[in-house]
Amino acid sequence: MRKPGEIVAGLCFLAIAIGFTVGAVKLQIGAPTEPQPGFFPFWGGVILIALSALFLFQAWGGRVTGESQTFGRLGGPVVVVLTLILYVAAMEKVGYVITTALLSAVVLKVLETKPLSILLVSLILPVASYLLFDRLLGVTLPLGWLSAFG
Amino acid sequence: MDFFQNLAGGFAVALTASNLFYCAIGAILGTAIGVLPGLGPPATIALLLPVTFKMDPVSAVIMLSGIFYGAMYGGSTTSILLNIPGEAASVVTCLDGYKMARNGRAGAALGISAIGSFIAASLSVLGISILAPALASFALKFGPPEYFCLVLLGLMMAVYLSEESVLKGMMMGVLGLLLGTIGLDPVSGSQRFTFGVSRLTDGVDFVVMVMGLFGLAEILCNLEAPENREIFKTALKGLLPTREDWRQCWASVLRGSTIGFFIGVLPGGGAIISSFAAYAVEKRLSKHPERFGNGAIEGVAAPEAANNAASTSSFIPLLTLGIPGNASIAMIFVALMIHGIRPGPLLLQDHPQLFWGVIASMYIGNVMLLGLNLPLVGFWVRMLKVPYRYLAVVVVVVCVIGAYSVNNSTWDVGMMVFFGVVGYLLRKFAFPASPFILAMILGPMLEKTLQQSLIASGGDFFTFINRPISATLLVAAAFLILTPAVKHIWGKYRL
Repeated sequence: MRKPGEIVAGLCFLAIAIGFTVGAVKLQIGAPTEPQPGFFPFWGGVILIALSALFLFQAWGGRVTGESQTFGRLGGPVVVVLTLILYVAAMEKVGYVITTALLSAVVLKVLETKPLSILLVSLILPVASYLLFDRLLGVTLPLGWLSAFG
Repeated sequence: MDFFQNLAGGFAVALTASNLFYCAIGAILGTAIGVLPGLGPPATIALLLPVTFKMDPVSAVIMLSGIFYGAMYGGSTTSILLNIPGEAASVVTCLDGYKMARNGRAGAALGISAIGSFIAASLSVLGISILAPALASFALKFGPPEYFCLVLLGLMMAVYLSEESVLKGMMMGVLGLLLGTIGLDPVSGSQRFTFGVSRLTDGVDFVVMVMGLFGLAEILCNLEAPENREIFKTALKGLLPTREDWRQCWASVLRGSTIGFFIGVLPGGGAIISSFAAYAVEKRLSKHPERFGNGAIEGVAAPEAANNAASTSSFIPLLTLGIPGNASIAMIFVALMIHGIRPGPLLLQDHPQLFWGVIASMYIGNVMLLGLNLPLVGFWVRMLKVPYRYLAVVVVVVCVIGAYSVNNSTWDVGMMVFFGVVGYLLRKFAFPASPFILAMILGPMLEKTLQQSLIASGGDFFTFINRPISATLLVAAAFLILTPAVKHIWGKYRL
């Protein structure tokens, strides 16, 4: 059975392969006697183009081996990834402890945790991990808004 | 005589208080992550890599190795009690281990699993002690063409033995080679595919990538459907196998150990394939194959022995040839490189204390693991009662800290999230991650040896065929590439 997701995956591989091949040509390929920086990625790109084309051919005919999984409820992963993107943007400024508390709350909420547990874990985990990694193991974590208390 | 002297020297290194401590930490962490589904050895080793930056390299490798082989011990606990493999290598243990638990024999299943693992791992360490020095001295004869063909064969093995389709494995392998070219050209030193981003000059950070691909991706997959784990409630009595149990499975343990040892040595082989192979062999040899799948103790003993023997023997290609055979060993390869130690045939000559110290620590680590897994099995079972949601949030937070600590930068956290999403999608479409990781690690070596070989031979590709060792390796690699295609064509025209 033809699966649109596999065709999209094949097209992604093809696009990456073409990107590397074109980039390698710009870097200069050279010759076997004197290979240039683009030599290896060029031939890698060409091989990946061929493999991606074969994969697309198989996917179009619904003959791809290696069983794909079905997507379950996508809400959870999407919410957590979006929260992580915001987390990356805010971590330096707001600080590790506050952003991690919010991140933990979102992950726990997605995993259907009771409100009291969310509150407790979101309070304890960021502080405990900060003390363990920053103070004990020497990993410098940003304090951000809480730096006045640090 | 040299062998015993070297091993004694290794024990002198491994038995220092600090190395015993790190060995114990590795064994405990390994068992814990083996027991808990959700965080495998590659991600755990990646998470702990930044912690090892300031450690002595011998201690660092002892601890990281302990995590890897310790996970094989712990993985069977969840397979037997929950029917959920804590580790991919323990998948096959579910078949008979869980049935044994249902039949009231959980204690015997856990017992034979731990003791069988101990016997197999000990035999495998003995195998490494004898085989590794001989292989390292043979590998000293290798020049760039031999190394190129060896790396190519290693990658082909990883593709061929990956559990998904060979085509997907090859695509992932080539993608890994291409991503490995990001950064500085190993020969000319010019920048490639960095798009003016200074952080990409050193290439894609391997540690950050592994945390995303193995750590975060696993959590994202599990977020789709919050799971309800139910621990099978049974009295854990009779952990020591009976005389009848031993009579039934001593040969299975030995066969599993042998199969595991030899499959583990192959690049791309490792614990998962060896456990399936050992199970298949036992079922085929059994006079009562119908017992398999219904609680046959040999069905637990053989795969558990095999996965432990394989995890130990997979250190051989790393320590002797500098070729990591799987993602976890690749992380140990990275740890050595970070400490300025190049794994390969010269490791034994240049760093004998590391080589023999790590091997001796494996003997000690396995004794520790037996102690951790048999008397403390109740503790690990209790740990399983911690709801998954708490484990998941801890894994996410540790991934974030681990990525941030590499360069004290949120850029790396962002890259970790990116690779987490990529890893999630790859899992969904059944693209194997192992060939990708190995190709990224081995890509620069492949490129460098290819260029060196071509320049030295005046651009003559026959240089790979004219030399006997490289020609043999190349034929083996070609055989692996062509076998699936030949099988496909053969099957098509026969039918």
